[in-house]
Amino acid sequence: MISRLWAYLELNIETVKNYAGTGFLLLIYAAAFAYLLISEKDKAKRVIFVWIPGLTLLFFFLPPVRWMYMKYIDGSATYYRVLWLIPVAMTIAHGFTRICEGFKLIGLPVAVALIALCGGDVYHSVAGPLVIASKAQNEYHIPQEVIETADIIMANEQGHRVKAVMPLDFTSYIRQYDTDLYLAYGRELIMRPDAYDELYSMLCEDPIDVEKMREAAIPRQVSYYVFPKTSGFVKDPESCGLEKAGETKDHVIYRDPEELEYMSGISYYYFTD
Amino acid sequence: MMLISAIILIIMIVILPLETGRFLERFDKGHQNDTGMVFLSGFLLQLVLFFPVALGTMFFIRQDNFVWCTRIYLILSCIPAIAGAVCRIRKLKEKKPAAGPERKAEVYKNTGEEKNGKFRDAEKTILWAAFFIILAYQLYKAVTTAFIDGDNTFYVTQSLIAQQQGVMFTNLPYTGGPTSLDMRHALAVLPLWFAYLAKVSGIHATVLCKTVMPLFLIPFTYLVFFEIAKRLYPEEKNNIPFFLCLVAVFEMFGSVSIYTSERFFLTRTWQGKAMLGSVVIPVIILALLMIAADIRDKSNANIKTAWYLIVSAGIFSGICTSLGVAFSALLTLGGCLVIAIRDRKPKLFAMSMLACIPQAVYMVLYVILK
Repeated sequence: MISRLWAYLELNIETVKNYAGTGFLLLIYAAAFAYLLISEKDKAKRVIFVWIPGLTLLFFFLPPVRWMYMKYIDGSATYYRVLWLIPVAMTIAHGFTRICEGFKLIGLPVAVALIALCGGDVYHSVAGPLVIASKAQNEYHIPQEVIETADIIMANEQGHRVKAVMPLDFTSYIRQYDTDLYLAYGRELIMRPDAYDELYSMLCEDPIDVEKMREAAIPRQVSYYVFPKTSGFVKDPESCGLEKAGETKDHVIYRDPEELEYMSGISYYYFTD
Repeated sequence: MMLISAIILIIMIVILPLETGRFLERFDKGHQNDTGMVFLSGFLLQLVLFFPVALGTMFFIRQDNFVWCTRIYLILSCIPAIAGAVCRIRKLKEKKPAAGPERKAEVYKNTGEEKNGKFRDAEKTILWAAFFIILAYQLYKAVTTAFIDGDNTFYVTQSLIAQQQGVMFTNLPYTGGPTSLDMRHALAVLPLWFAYLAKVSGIHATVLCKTVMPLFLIPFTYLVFFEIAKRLYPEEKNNIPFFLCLVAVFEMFGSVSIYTSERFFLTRTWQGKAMLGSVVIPVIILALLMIAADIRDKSNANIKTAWYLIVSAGIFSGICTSLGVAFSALLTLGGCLVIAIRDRKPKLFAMSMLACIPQAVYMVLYVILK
């Protein structure tokens, strides 16, 4: 029992560590909290900046709370969001506002510099090795190649719904541009490490056996194939019954004219499949 | 065409909430002439009204349910706004426009001497200018920066499906094709509200979510912080822009990990979970501050508005994300418990339990449907 409680407490500490990153902003918050704990005399402000955050932190660290959260609210790793209930930005801002009462114009650049030095710039955010912010290529905020690919397919099909096979990085975006484009597989392949899709694994082969791929794709109503230009092929796609529909800077789009199948437009409300 | 879309959108997300707020103002005279609070109240009511319409059409209409949702909500959302406009016209006819609350001069606590002078005015101008520069930078970055976030594949695509195919949560967002109603997400209807705005304005839902809405949602979040600052510094007005500057800077540099609400706020502004952290929680904190201040001052000036904010933010939390109802209820109950114990007002905690009934109903519904 005690070992389980301890394990949950360790998990909570780990969550705070992951949340706080380098920990410097947490230090500023701790300093602001301590300062307000001692100096804030206004009853209403003490409730907001001292008592509620204090209670929330206490609540957060209690092992049974985490256990209950994971059992009854959300089993996945969203427990860190309990920390959102602590008004960190407001507490730091209020702490500085009180400290810099008589010299705001000098205090502001100092406080800004301190926050900027200790914090992480949201516009240079990373998630592991991935840089998550980049200059938007269009108003959709999705890669231009994806839009061009969708435009080529939909121009050919005059707005009919068709299913396509394409590189995995396209699948996260293309239906944010046009939902008439159906996919043989989608983001679930990224989200679930154990997920497998026959067509996707064929697309990843080098060289790609288009004939074999087409055989597997026809029963799944696939009419379009998007290949990276760098892909090698066992046999030329056009000699396997596909026709070139167009190309973008880095990809070639093929259409299957013989097996072209339009997807059903029906999308009723179902309670069960 | 773009101009027409922009005008329609401004009517939907600025004019209608503002006029709705004017209507609500009739029920609580304590916040007359406080345009920020009027807008905030009206905006929350507009969203709260969307909730039953979206659920009703989702569950009870089989085909093209989003089309019906759009039609019904378009009419329903106009009713309180028209009522508000009528109230305002009557008020203007009855008497000359009020000059606003009598401006009290700020005085020094110790000497009672009036605070004024060129330095204070210059300081105020500089601080407000600094805040608006930071805000403008954030808006510029919101429009010109693309953030990689896999969750958009779900949320933004759901909005686009509703706009383009007229259905709600019955089409697979990742691959397409009909499916059973997605009960896990069905109650969190925020993507459908964006789809509604997209449908009515004619703007592509993805463009609306990622490029247009941040231009509204980021300033809206700061409006909530402004309302908080006004209550934190009623006697020292220059503190308000100072506080806002620091909050805004913190939002930009709070990205110390992938988990912080600040990072969610600026990189996925349009997602329900981001709005939970950046709008819902600050609104509840604002309401708790108003309640605590009322008890401190032994007045009832803010109490109606505070409870209205708590209840509407509680419903809004469920519109944002299913998990949100647990957080909003927790904050409301915890905050009121602290105040109730501190000020020996057990009735306050009982009130907070009543105010959390919407969240309780939501949770029961969620468990049943899931």
